[in-house]
Amino acid sequence: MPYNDPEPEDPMALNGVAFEATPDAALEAAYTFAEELARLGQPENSILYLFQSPQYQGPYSAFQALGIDTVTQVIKECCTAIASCRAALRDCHLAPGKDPGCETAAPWRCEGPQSH
Amino acid sequence: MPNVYNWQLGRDMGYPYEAEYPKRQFAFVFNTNRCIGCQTCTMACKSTWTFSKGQENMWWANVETKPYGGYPQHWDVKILKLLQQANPDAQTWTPGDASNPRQPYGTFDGKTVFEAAEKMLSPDSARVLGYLPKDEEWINPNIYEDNPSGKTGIKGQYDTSGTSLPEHKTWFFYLARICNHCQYPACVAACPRKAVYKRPEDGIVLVNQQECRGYRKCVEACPYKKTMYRGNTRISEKCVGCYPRVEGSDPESKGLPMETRCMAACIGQIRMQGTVLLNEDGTWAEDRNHPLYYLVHVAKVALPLYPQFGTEPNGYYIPPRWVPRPYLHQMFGPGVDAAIERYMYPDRELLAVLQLFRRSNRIIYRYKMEEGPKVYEGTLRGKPFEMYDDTVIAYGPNGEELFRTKIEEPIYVRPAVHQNSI
Repeated sequence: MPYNDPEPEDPMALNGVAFEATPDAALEAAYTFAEELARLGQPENSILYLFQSPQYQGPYSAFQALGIDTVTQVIKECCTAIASCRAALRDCHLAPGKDPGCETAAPWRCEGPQSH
Repeated sequence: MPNVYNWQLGRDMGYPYEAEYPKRQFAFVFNTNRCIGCQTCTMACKSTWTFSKGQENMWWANVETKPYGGYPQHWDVKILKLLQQANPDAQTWTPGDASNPRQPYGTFDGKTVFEAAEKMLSPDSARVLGYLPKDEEWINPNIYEDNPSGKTGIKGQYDTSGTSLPEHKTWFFYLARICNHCQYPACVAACPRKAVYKRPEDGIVLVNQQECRGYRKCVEACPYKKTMYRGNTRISEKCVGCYPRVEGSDPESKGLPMETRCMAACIGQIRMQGTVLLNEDGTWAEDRNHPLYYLVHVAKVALPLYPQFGTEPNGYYIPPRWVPRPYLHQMFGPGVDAAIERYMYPDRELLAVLQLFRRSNRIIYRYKMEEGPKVYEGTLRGKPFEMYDDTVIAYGPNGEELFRTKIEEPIYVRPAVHQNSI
């Protein structure tokens, strides 16, 4: 944080300036975050958790603006389309086919131990 | 002043030196849609290069929260203002044929930092329009976000709810930055001792520490403010592009070109770095299966940062989808609308190339796609959308396979014991 309080007369000091967003900015941001996270293989509930966490300011601000119903619908739509591939469990210490007990975005396929 | 060709501006421009191009050029693509502002890249760079006395406020790699953040503070606003003063309301673009690789963004009609200097600066020896940031502008790597926030009066504790904070209908995004290792570097142009130079093998821009006398002309000139003055040695320093890794001489690289520390550390998988082939006129040589060439010149989803400055930066950004377009037009030029449209509805090849991000820390020189089965057919946001489980293979400098990956996301399950063993 800056060491001193902002000087109201200083035109270059940030002092509560709001850059207005376009009306659909929050929805577009929600779709972007949901799509990117779905591509990274995150399951729906993990993505929703991220939207609900104030520590992730981008998704959280979209969540505040849109509400849980819209955000849940966006996440579901993105995961249905993008995370439609199976998640491959690689470098797994378990035998192929055994349940590793972790959540994935889509039905998983355990490939067993691999060297890489 | 000699004329050089700047393909990002689609025209010749004045530059203090004759054109001279490296064989390959260090370049990178950052996907701003993925950046979560975790600052892992920032710390990777800090812990490698700028951890010494006198470098406390020196961040060669940084992530700033746009629109209000900047390191140094307001760097881009100040440069844009100087250019506006030099060429009032005339910093405009004329659209052109986007398929022409010599001017994919049309033609820039305004003045660059070099051209504006001729009008604005005196004496005549002044070569670049710029400014020298004050000490306090360098203090905050990302002002208001560089300390964890907590409730007033409670020390050592995060604010776990944050809901009491005022809420505005605003937008922001994280802009990760390093030196752009420009084709026409303003730091090189400004140095009166010719202490700043561009390596002929990979285009990385370095400051010769023996020659530098700390005049800070480079600090003043660089429009991206990525050269920095070190008070205790009284000379300037800048991002070195992790050149031992890029040239394969770092012990960890085992002779193979390896991506920089900030790229390799990126947990958000937003970064890809490489070296691209250049033509004799400085434009990118056609290299259809190079991932950076594909993203910049084929898919055209990655755009240069403030191309109007005229330095031909080699950092390219996939622009954030939700940010007001006028802001993005100013920051990334006229290619923004087409880039976002393409990125929102990616085709098979773009999806495959996006999977190459951060699968390996080796520099990718070529990729190949192997088509897989269709796994989804439906709609996304009301438009038809198809997903194929294609395979994409990355190759190194000698044609050796670096890795192969699929559209399906691999998940690595670590053993319950010795989880951090390497």
